[in-house]
Amino acid sequence: MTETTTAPESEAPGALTTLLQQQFSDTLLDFHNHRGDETVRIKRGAIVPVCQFLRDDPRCKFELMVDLTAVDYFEQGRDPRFEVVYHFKSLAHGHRLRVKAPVPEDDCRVDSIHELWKAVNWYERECWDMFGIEFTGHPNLTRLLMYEQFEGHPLRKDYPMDRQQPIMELREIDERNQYGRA
Amino acid sequence: MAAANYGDFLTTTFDNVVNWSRKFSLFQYPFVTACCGMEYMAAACSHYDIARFGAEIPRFSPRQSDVLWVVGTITHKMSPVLKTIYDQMAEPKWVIAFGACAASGGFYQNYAVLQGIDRLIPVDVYIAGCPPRPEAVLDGLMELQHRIQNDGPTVESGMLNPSMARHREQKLDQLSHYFEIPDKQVLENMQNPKSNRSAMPGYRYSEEHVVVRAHMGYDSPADKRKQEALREES
Repeated sequence: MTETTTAPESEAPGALTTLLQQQFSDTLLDFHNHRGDETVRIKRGAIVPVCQFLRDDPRCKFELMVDLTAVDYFEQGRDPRFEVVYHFKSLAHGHRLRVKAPVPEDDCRVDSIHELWKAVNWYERECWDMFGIEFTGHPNLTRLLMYEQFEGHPLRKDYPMDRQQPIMELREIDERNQYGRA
Repeated sequence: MAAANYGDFLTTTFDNVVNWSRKFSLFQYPFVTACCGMEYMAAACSHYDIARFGAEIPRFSPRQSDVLWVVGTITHKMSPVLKTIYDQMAEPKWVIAFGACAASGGFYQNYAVLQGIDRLIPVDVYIAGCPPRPEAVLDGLMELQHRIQNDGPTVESGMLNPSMARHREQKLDQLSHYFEIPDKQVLENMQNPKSNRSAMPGYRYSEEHVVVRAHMGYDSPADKRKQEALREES
């Protein structure tokens, strides 16, 4: 399912997408291309082979892992619920690629790619901290932004945004209770 | 002239002189975490010049400072650090909450930010703004100086400076128990219009979370006791 864009020629798959279609035809679920910015959606089991190919193949040469994050489609009711998004940049060729991998809620794990790019270490920790997506094979999957005593994964859409879990004993402030404000 | 009665001695001019010297030689600890630090620096530099108030040198050690300027957002992850720094300061000490985030949590009404440092430590002066202009910073400093001078010992005998009384209470509280992580408590701001709680009608986190009254955020110890009582009744 390709997105309709303003320019009709941008719907055609780009060079990287065709390359991946040739190499990993059975894992490619979806792609779209908007004015040269290519995105592919692949099965999560194939993350490590695809990323290894992207890093090592001389036609791709993605030395730089730019970003790793996740999106929670809880409110739209999508299944699988999460989608882990990777951004890659090639310094040799200058092209970029976005790779998405859908992750279901009940089996919330993806293979870690920290063997390929060391920089992804903290990105995967943040993803675990905020979404609860486990990266198997990660050397130190602990909380990064939140503190250890925090329970829950705050960027999930069903985590109440202002649910606070203080770790210090807080003072009672009469003025706040009197005026009914926080 | 304002006077105090400490037993057999009346201290009048002495207190005034001591308070005068305290207010014009404040050693500050700028506990800077976020964007308000820029305005703190702006106030401290030559254009607005905090040095002409005597509060020139920032001492980045709590042992050497009088005033704790809490500048910027304090998260729950940072709160033990802030409490430790505050506890390490020696009397007399004052606290300035600089900016909206330190005073009330600012526009961060979320899971990570402590909604105002006065939930943790007693505050003497709040400087509002996001960030406050340097003129507002100097106004806050002058307000603190006024409090140091005039909240000194008053006519009532034996009455302490209210700032001192608050800080002393904290000190006794601190000394009375070793640092411990309290029982888990969960706070929620139910009247926040941006809270996604309204997007999930009928959502309940657990059977135990009984709501006594719909107020914003903080469950005071009294409210928690009421909740306990309700839970025991049902």
